[in-house]
Amino acid sequence: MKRGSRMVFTILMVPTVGALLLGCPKKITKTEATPQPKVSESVGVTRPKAGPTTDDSSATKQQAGKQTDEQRTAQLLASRGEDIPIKESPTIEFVDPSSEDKAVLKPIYFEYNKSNIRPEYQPVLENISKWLVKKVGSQLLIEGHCDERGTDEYNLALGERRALAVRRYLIALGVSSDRVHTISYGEEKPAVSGSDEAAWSKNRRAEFKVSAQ
Amino acid sequence: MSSSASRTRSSQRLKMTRLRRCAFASLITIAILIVMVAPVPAAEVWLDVSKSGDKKIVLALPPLAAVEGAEETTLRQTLENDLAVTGYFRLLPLAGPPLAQAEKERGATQTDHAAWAAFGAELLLRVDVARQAGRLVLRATLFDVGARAQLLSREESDAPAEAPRLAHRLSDAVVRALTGGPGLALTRIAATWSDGTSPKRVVIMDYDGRNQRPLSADGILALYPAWFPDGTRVAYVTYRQGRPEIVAQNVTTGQVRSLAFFPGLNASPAISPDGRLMLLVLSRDGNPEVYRMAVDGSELKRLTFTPAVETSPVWSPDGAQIALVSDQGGGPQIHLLGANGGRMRRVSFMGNYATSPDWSPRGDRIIFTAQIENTFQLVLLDPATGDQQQLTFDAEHKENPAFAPNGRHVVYSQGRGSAYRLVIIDTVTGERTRVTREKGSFTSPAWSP
Repeated sequence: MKRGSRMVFTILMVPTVGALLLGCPKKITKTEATPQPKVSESVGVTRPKAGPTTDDSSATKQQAGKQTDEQRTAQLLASRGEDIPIKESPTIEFVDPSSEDKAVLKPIYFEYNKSNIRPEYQPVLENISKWLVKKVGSQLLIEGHCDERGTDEYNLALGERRALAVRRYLIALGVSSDRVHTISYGEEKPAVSGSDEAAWSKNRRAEFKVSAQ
Repeated sequence: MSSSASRTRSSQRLKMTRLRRCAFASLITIAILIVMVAPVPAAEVWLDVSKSGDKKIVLALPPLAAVEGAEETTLRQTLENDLAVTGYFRLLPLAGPPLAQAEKERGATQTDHAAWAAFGAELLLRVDVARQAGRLVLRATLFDVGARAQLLSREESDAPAEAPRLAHRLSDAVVRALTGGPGLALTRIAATWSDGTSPKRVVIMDYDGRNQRPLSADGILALYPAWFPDGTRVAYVTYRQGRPEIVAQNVTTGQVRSLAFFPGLNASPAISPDGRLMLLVLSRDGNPEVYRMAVDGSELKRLTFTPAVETSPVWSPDGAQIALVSDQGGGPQIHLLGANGGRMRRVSFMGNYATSPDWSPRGDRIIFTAQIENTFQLVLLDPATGDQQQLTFDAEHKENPAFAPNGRHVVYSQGRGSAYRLVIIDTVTGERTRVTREKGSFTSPAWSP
């Protein structure tokens, strides 16, 4: 083409091509591909006071070495407030504790919407860890519960966090991670009926069941 | 002419021709490109739902039958309810226009459009119900009174016990004739139900609360139903094996299949719009987090990595984004996240407790529940702009909202304490219709496709 006609062509084509390229606005927002790094200090986690490590007397002699390593790792994670993975689900049956055991296995209560272990319940958990040393072969099921307020789906996850907080605390005290298990019932199994703080405070809890003997 | 002059003139003519040809070619190209990128106008519809405001169309619905038995009454009441719930119509009172009566007395077969228009009717739905050979026969015609045009003509029959379904199918046919899109009348709602003594279980009902029947097993705690996009199965959380497990149950055959039973919590299932993937909440890594997985159990991928609680994930209709609840700021709030993970972005800013998001099938809005002055209220959010708008203001708690397939209606659970019922709200008009008819407490509704 001659220069003049080339200029005309360009003048006409450039805005057209530009309009095409800028044409359709993208609705999908791009997000970063890399996951956030784990944070070692989690919200609302109380670290247990440094206590004596307890031997896991439920381990057989052959497996003693392996379990001690895993147990040490779990304890380290627990004391740093980090998540401790759940490796296996329990296949055993759990029952209500006997009245004698109930004196030790008392419920732990929580503040509204919180899952941190309150200072007044730390002695209870310390007693429970000592009880587990004595009761060779026993396992614990920690049930996490919420009061009726809030939405049921969030409460199921919050109940799970409460049970996991108790589990983490016990592991940091030296309890083997394969002796403590968790389950959440959210707001589905209140201990006390009622729609006031007296009832609600009794429902925001972690309760214990023991392995059937 | 001198040869040089003629050469100049011919070369000039050549220049002009080339220039003209070039310009012509450019203009054609531009024209084609403009046509390609210009928005294609939607097919002509009588009622454009994307533009509909809350102005209602006046629809006259004369009496259905000469003799009204129980089934005819059911049919009429169901039809009136179906048409009213759509939010499109203001129904002319049935007892009035004496016009219908006058036409009947005259034995008139032709519709007097002018007379109906004088009553203010914009549409006229003529329905005749008769009994033949033990069946109900329904004949219906829909007229545009102003244009004097017939928009729909329909005849079908069914057993008298199926009177509600006859009405539902007619209502949907009216909606399709006017809007080009599907209606709500044959959709279903899954929810959890308890009579107060038994553990919650999953039930299914018609969208108007009829035909409620249990889905999950009796006596076993079951929660959080979520429909598959083809409407054949419902996923939910069951404690059948002693701790939370996600299963899928076929609503017709009742067959149950396990979807997720990892160590720890298995909760909050949400099936992707294409039916191939699901979102779920697991605590297998020591904390409740959101994961993505293929429905067949493969391709498990963790999406959230905060020490906080993440739960209640839902898909955007294009499958590219997720809305979920995270309490990383202290209290639970709604966040958005890409479907492949990455950084979460908080989008709810009403009150200090916001949960239960659901994404409209039209993609333009997210609804959630937020605690505002001690009461849980419904809030609509535009995910593109971040604009939030409180939808309800009255005293009872309103929780677990779920959009209808039309992206306009929402079903939710309303109540206080242990007595909740399901209600449908029209997000355009704000009008509400109660759904549940049976006793007991209903929560966690999910609307079928």
